[in-house]
Amino acid sequence: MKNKEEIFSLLCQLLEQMFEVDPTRIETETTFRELDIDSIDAVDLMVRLHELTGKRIAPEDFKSIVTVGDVVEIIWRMVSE
Amino acid sequence: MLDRGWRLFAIMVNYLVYGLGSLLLWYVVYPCTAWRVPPERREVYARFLSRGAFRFFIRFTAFMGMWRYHIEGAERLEKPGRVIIANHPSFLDVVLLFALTENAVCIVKPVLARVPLVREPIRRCGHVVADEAEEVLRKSVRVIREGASLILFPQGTRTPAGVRVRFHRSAARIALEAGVPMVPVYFRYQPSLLGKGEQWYNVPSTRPRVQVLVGEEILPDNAGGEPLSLSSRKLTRRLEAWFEVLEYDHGSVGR
Repeated sequence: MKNKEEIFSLLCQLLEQMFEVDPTRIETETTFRELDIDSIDAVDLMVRLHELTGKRIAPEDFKSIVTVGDVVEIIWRMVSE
Repeated sequence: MLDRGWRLFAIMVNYLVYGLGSLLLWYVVYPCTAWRVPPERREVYARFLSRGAFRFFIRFTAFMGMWRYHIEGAERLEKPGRVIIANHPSFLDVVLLFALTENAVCIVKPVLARVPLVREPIRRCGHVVADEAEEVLRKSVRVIREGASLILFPQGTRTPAGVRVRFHRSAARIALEAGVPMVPVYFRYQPSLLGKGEQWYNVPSTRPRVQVLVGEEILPDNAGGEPLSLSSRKLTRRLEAWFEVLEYDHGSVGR
């Protein structure tokens, strides 16, 4: 994953596969609440991201997540470290 | 009018009996008897006591004329290790389910764990406090595997009849992870009693009639090992549909 666009499109793919989200509804500022992603779903998503990136999102970062863009930022920060 | 005055009086007596009964049960009966039960069986023992007390309470309140109830399919709540889901039009749904369900554990709102009279039974019976989602899931699956039946109100809070049925997915998810059947329970109050925003002193003009319909088991299906996030969505839609049909059938009739 070289840039934020790639991370964003990966995320869209995951949201579609795992939670039946229509990818055309997803923007960076879309909230997970709007997409009907609940807290258990969020945990599933984090587990999947961990499998894919090999990095674990810190609990305090996890709690601060509201929008799809927030996750993109966190992953971007982790992979570029 | 006279009838209504009586029911207002009955409700006050019922509250008093509930309060004093809880005190007696959790601060006298339980502490005086639980020591004879091995520690690992104490939660089951507390649930047994609690069920007995609630059974007495529903009969007493019906005898006092607060309501009339009619239960269909009660035997389905006697089986161990089920996930029981119900709509939640009234405060009294909990009372009925605790009276009817064998070895019942409920998922409770965190605020209740701080209410003095309710805190004690929550602790003694090992009810699951709904704080952190992952933790709730883990604990729920554990108590079900130990043989308890888990009561959930997937609407999350008291919801009046006639509103579109929308469930949180955690109930379905728990049943899928535990691999156990779900038992749906439909409550119908005519007229409504102790619903959200209704005060205890707002006594309805006629004596409420409550129908409790315990449905057939719904088996969670995790076809082909698809992700649980997908199966729980499908299962939740099935559950919502089950309740929607009953809301349609009953919702407008006799209102």
